[in-house]
Amino acid sequence: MPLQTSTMNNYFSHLIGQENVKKKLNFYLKAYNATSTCPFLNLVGAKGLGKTLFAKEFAKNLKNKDGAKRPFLELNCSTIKNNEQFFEQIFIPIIMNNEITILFDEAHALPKDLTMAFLTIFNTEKTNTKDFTFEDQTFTFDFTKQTFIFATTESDKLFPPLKDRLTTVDFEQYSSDNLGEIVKLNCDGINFSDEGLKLLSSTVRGNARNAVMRSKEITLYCESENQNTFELQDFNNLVDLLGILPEGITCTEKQILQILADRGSCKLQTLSAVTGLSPTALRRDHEVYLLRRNFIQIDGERKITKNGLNLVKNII
Amino acid sequence: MKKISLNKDGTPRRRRHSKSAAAPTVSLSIEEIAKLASDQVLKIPVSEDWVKGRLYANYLVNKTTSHDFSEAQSVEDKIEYALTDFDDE
Repeated sequence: MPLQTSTMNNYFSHLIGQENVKKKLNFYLKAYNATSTCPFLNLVGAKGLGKTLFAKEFAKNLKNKDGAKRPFLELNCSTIKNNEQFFEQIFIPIIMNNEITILFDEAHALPKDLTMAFLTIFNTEKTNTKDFTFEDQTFTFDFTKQTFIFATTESDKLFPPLKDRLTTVDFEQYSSDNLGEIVKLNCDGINFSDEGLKLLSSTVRGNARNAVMRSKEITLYCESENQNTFELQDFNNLVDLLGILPEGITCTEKQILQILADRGSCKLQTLSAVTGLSPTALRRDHEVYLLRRNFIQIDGERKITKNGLNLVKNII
Repeated sequence: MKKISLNKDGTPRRRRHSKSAAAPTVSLSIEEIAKLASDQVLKIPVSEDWVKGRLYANYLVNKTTSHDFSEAQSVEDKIEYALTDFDDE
């Protein structure tokens, strides 16, 4: 019998959006409760989609053998330099023989030698333990005691054989309604008008982290105005006070749109010369959102779309 | 190829070398040198090239040592982490 959505989502029902992620994680939690093991998860998605939040929430629901909550260790992989440092500073004092959940955040930045070690460690077929020998010492990984989760924004940079050993959980962009709910949830005691909330959610670029940050600004605004409502006029005031641009675009993105509106189309090199930004910075940091929102298109040259032109008119 | 100049008698003219010819050398073991040297001998002349060669060899040995040292240093770099125990939740 297929599991009902309401039953499936009960561990994460207080979190907004990411329904597919919730379903998958609920499944693995239920499997963990039955078997005490969990696959090595790899949370993949853009910045600010809630990978760390979901990992933490998942870890909170993993129970030790005595029923107590398992501690959660969050590691930033870009600060790990080599195997020796990992085993000395992390594995021996915190992980070895303990029941714990470990999140390797920014997993694409794992050092090469630790990636190679993980190929051996996470190559488990039927057993729940793995002995890894490093510099004449043997370290035992017990996967009934230790749960390993990886998270990355750049899954293409993860070594493919390691990726093969992990179970991928993909995060998706938040809808406008989801973002509105996130804003409301983080603005305790503030009542929003539908119009104000809709416009607010259009300025957070589909990103949950931006929505949380915007909520903090709204809370500050309402406190300074001594009010507990946020309506269209308040939105206009906030836009004016913080210089928020339509659709949440940045000043550089606005500049790119204006250049393209004036010139019709231009090459990346020209755009680089006019803005003073490197072609790489333009491609990686400033064009992605404009492309995603269909404000520009690339067809040999950069061109502004009809949507982009409307946005420029709106700004002016 | 350099042009060869001839003397009046047709024989090839000797080239003048800017450097003087190197003194012939012999290879001796440390023990043999010790036997030959009397108690009064405080210094033994060696070629500048030999000294440079030894200095470079020592540099390479030290370079290996400093490589180990840098690894030891990197172990001391702290890995950033946060530990949550969920006790109050």
